[in-house]
Amino acid sequence: MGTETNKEIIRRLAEEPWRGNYDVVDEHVADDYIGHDPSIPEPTRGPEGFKEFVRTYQAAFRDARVTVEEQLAEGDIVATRWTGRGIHEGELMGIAPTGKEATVSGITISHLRNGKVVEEWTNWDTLGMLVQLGAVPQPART
Amino acid sequence: MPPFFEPPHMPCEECGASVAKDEREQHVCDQTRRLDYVMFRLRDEVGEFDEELRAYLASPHGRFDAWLAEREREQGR
Repeated sequence: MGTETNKEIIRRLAEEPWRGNYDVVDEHVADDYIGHDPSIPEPTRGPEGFKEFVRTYQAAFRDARVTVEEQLAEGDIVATRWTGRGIHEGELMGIAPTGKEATVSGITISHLRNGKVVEEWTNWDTLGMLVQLGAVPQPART
Repeated sequence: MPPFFEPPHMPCEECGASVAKDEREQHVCDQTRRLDYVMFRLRDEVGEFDEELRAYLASPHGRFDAWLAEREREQGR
């Protein structure tokens, strides 16, 4: 697969499940997929793990959306900078619903094999989300 | 000295909308969004009110008040 095709696959995987299209996950996530994210205790595994991760946040955030802002690709690796947004109306990580809208940014490095993503490394602004939801206090100005 | 950490977006305290740091001065609340936000935050109290009203209307005093209100409505008072 060319780098442009790989970028398109990852863009679709990043955005479309949040709009309810889970078929793209079955189409482009490998059975042995592993997703690493410091905000979750165990890696996400396989297409079902991928969907479960999305569903967890969809249950917590009404109108949850991810938008791809920028991508770089080299060989079978794609780096994606994205923005996520949603209205917190369900419990998340023990945080009671607040009704507040949160916006977070993140970067995901995706490794592909034959048109399917096999491994991803994600870092996103978890602290920013917790501050926006009031779950942790914003550090005071000095 | 700049703050150690400040998210680039924060929710508006009035309407809950996510507002970018450099747009805070210009932000104007959408009134529908603001109402949704206020009602969402009052959902427990609204739920409790419904329960209290139901219990009151089932009590002797509540049944009498309901009967009286209905009678006054019928009499056009």
